[in-house]
Amino acid sequence: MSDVTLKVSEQTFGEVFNLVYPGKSLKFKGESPGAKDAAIKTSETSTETSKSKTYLNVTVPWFAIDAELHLVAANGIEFNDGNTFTINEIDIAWDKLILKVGLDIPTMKFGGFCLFKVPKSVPVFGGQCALEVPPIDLFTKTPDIEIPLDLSPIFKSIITEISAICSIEIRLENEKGKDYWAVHPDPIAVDADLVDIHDTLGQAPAILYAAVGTIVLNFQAAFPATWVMDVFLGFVGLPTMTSLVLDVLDIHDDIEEWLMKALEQSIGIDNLLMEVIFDAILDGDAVFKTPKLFEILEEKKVKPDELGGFAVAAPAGDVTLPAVSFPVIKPEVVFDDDEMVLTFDFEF
Amino acid sequence: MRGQLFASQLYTQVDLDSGALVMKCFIAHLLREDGLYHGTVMLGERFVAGFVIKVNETAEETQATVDVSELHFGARGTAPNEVVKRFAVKTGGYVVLHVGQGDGGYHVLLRNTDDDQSRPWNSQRLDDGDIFSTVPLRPGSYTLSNVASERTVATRLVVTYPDPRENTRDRPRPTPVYATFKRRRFDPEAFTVDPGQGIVIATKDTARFTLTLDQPDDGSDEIREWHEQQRAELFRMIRGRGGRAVE
Amino acid sequence: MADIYGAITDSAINRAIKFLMRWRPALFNFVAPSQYPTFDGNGYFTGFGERWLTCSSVKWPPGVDHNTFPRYTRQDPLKMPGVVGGGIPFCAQITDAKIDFHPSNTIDLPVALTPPLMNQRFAVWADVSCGVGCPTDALIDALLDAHFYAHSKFKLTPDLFNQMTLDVESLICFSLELFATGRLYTQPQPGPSNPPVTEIRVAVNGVEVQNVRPNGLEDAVECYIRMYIRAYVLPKLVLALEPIIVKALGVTFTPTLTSGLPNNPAIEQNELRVWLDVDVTKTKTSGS
Repeated sequence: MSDVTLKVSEQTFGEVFNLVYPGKSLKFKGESPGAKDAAIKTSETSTETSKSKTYLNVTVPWFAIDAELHLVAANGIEFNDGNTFTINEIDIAWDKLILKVGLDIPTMKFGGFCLFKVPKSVPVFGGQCALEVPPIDLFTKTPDIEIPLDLSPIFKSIITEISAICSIEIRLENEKGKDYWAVHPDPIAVDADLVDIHDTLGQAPAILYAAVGTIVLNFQAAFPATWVMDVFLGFVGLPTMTSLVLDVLDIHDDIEEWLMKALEQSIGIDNLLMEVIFDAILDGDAVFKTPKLFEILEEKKVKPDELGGFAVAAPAGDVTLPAVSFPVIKPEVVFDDDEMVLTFDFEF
Repeated sequence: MRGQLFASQLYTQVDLDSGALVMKCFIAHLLREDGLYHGTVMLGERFVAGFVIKVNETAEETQATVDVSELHFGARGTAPNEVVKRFAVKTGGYVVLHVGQGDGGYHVLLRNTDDDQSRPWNSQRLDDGDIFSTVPLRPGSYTLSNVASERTVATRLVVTYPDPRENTRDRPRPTPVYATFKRRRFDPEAFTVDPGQGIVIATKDTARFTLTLDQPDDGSDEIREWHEQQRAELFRMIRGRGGRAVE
Repeated sequence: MADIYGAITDSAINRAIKFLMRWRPALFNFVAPSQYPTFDGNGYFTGFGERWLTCSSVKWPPGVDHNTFPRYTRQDPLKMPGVVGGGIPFCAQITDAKIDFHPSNTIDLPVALTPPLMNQRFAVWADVSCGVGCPTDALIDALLDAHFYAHSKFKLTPDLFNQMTLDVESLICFSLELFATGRLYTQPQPGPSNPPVTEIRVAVNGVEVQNVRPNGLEDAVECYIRMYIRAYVLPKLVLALEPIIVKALGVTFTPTLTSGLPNNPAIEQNELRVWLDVDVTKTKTSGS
């Protein structure tokens, strides 16, 4: 039997956990792996005598996220068999969520047609293009566009479900020169799921379109004349620059769905959330601490008049009685039914 | 987004001349005889670069595509008789001349050094079998002429204004217009093309083709009004007043 | 279910007692030292020297400075009618002690305490070594006779004489075994706090001293010890359930005893057990 046994209920454990953990600001960034040089043909035409194609090399848009959140509460803590516990619901609050959408306006070529074909009667090569002119580059450089979307107005609409399974461990730690036995939750698995974005107030589209509109305006300003822009749009097959940007970014009517896809699939925000919370728990504070050297009596100054038994005559001034402490050894922590059981011995 | 997005020549060089090659112009010349051809790239009276084409039966390529501007810029610092690039073409193949960058204005001289009797070819005077091709972009009405004839022969060329309201992704791109010039006539006699649609003219006669913009087309009043509406819609979008891009 | 449960074994407490005996011996060794006058080279009185006489030797714990580490707590000497001078030196030393929680398995209770130990009870045993000083006849004579001190030409004044604990060089020693049984109970702490803070207190049911004869004397000693325990010891053994600040976590626990349990705190299965409901809050720092 251990010298001391302490048992803590799930509820109290949860209450302490929620006082120790939440509040810390967790920052993270993420980026989608942008694919370069994905060629998307906009049109290709073949006829009897010639072939003409115009194609658009579009870099798949990349997404980046610059975010900050803090833990609000861990709800539904359950102790499991096997010395783990589950936090069924970790509530988070976003402090900053900037989604950046990046786009490289395509390198574009036009022309590249056949001057004449090999007569069909010619064996093997008949019908093939005998003479081709090279295509012409439309752009001298490919400007990068970056659209920052500040999603803070729709923070409340971003619904995330986060849960975690942690084991419980005792570590020996040193703080300000003092050793402690510290009980730490160690995350085994964190599951983060960006479930939905409910933007019933309609702010998400406004945020996105305002940003897109600004970019389009700037882009349009780079065209020397309206006819040049119209020729370009004719090549691309879209009526407006706005529709081009929206089309390349694959933004359609359901903005919330687009945001979800950008955050989930492109950025993989679920994984980022998982990692940041995993690390927060891993690097977090202990839910319980006891000094390794347990002080049973503190250091005390006393007047020598009240004491005796010194080797020589009583000292002149006050006498300091040293603190009496003993080591806490063999700390163990397990879960048993609905309780966390902490046991330890005294070394004397 | 400042700075040049486009090569300005694409939209500033509207008038074209096959005798002074610029971007959007191409010349294809047939290499009928075997030999070692020395090419000279000229800018006005000035020699700017040299190249060599070896023509024989054993060569694999049927076409040597020569970017004369690339040769020009690559030749800077070399001596006048130094060769910048070498090509090999099968007998009966073509040399295709074009300008990839810069202001252009080049013409090319080509001489078969293996045949002293042969006449040097000058791109300022196209011969029977040569092909001139161009890709006009600026909407408007043009005069297409052959100024090498005893009497200049001209015809009308119209580049239509692209109505953005009709743009669709699946609309097929128009193929080039193929024409010939023989017996002092263009066939077809008049051309209407879309911006970016190629024109290919194979000549039987001596030719120097020019394209001159007579009347630019900046789009109808209707299109202008439509652009204004789009701009207003854009500002509404930016100010967040519920605007959506009109498609 | 209670929020927090805590238990400590009686063997852990007993090892703690032994540890404390070693490291704070003054808590277990009470001595009224004998005194003697000291004189300078010319025979002038300079003060009183002290002899800290004990019956059981007390060692210093390892590593302490013997010159500054005390082993005994001073007591006033015994005063009784017929005792001359400042009083009689004595010592009372707890040389061993242990506690035993129900079911009793380390202390054999004497018959007078009706073994076996009852449910929810604890038993305490202590071995106490006592000693009393007895002055020699010659010293008494010298003291009675004009208060001259044997080794001095200097005459002790009556005041000085009455301050000086009798000078003896040894004690008459004897030892006692002390048994007691008791229980824990709770009551609200007196005072204005609302709701009132609960206190856990100790009640002693029976005291038995062994090795004292005749029985009447034993009863008298037991009575005195019972009085001493109740008046002096028990008031110090009070645990008030006040908010506990756990600095390391920045958290304050405000405990109350869990209600609805047959015994809380409980003494059972060789453990002292307590069930608490706690209110967990963030510790308020000053200025916040």
